[in-house]
Amino acid sequence: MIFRFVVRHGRWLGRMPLLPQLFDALLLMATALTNRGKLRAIELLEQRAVELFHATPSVHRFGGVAFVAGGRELGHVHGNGLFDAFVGRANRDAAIAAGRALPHHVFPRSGWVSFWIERESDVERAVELLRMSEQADPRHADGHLS
Amino acid sequence: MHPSRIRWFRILGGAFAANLLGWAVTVLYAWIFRRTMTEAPKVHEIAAISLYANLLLVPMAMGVIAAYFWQRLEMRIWGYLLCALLTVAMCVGGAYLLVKEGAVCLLIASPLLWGALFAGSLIGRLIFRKVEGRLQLAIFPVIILAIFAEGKMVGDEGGVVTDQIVVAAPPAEVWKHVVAFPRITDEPDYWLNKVGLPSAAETTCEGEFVGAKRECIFSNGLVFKEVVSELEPQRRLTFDVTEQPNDPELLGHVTLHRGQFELQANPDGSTMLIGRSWYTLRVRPLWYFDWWTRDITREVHLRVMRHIKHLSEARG
Repeated sequence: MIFRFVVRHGRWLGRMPLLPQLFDALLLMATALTNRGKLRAIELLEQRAVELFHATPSVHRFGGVAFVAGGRELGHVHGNGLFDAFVGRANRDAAIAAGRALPHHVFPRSGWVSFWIERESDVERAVELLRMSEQADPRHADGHLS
Repeated sequence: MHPSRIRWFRILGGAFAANLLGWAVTVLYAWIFRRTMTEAPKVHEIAAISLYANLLLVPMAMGVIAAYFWQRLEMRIWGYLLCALLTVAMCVGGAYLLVKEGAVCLLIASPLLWGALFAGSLIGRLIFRKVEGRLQLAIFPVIILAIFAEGKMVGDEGGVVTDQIVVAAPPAEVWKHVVAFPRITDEPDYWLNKVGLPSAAETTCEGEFVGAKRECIFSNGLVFKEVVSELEPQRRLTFDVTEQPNDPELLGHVTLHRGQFELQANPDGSTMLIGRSWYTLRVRPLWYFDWWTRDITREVHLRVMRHIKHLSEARG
């Protein structure tokens, strides 16, 4: 709820250096203290992204961990378990229609999709989205977040 | 050396290095203050303003430094969270023992320190992993610039806290207990009072006239010296704070300027008692400490006003 409010009404705060990282760290702190299963899932996703896609985990400019491979961002995960991946417009509609993802929480018309990670069993679905992201054409990355 | 010892050595080394940075910034500021106070007042002013940003950005820089030492431990996020807590404990313990900082102030600041330090350590974890352990120095000018920018952008925060309570007695009865009141014997129920924050205990006043000296006495003997600046019997009492106690919980953090009680007669014969306090906050980040200042001031108001209510209703 707090995350949604900040994203909707305080997007300008994201331009302040280090503030998004601080906010995301507080979300991750809350996750660590209240939902160990979700925290383990976030860590597992990071591990799988490194193993399968040789992605480099990096600081995302709006907070969270970005997975960068081949010089571009495949996706990123926030401290509250919200995972965003760039799958391209062509794949977006299919992924949403199949219930594998939700429209992106800020840019619903872009080639990005969102997915909530709640437990370790959700990680494979996030990995699928990363795989789609790896194969997507980055030239159609409208509303690219990285 | 045994692997678990090496592990602890690295954890404590990171915490120590982070604290070293924190203390280095503190000593640097102390040195700048002493050198510039009389010789370069403009530099002194800039240093004083930038100091306020310390509570958010310096801990983040401390977290980045600590992560450099912790990176080889391949810790999970829980590990970073606990190590950040250990670093904060060292920092807070040092401030309490060496600088004689107030315990309640440190308790209030600790969650913020922990959050900022954890954020810094997460940033460091990703930065150092990316460059395979080499120290990426580009982050530090950004942090230093941000420290000065935040302080320069925001001035001291002045505020007023207002609270009200209905007393089932007429203003004439309530007024008798507003100017001064005997000692409050009830145990405070506010959690910060239970862990050591002094609570409002008693108020004395020379008399009902403008210029009368008033003393607001707290449970540990701290005294706020005040003088009555406005007096309309049964309607309004305003007093200016002339001397604030030299207490580490307050010193340099918050200045109380004025207090006021206003009495409004209700049609049913009861009284709306309104309490107000004006203050200036001098610690950063304002959004965090202003919330605490308001919460603590509200508790002081309500404790005093509930006491006035009790005395007035017992006699009314």
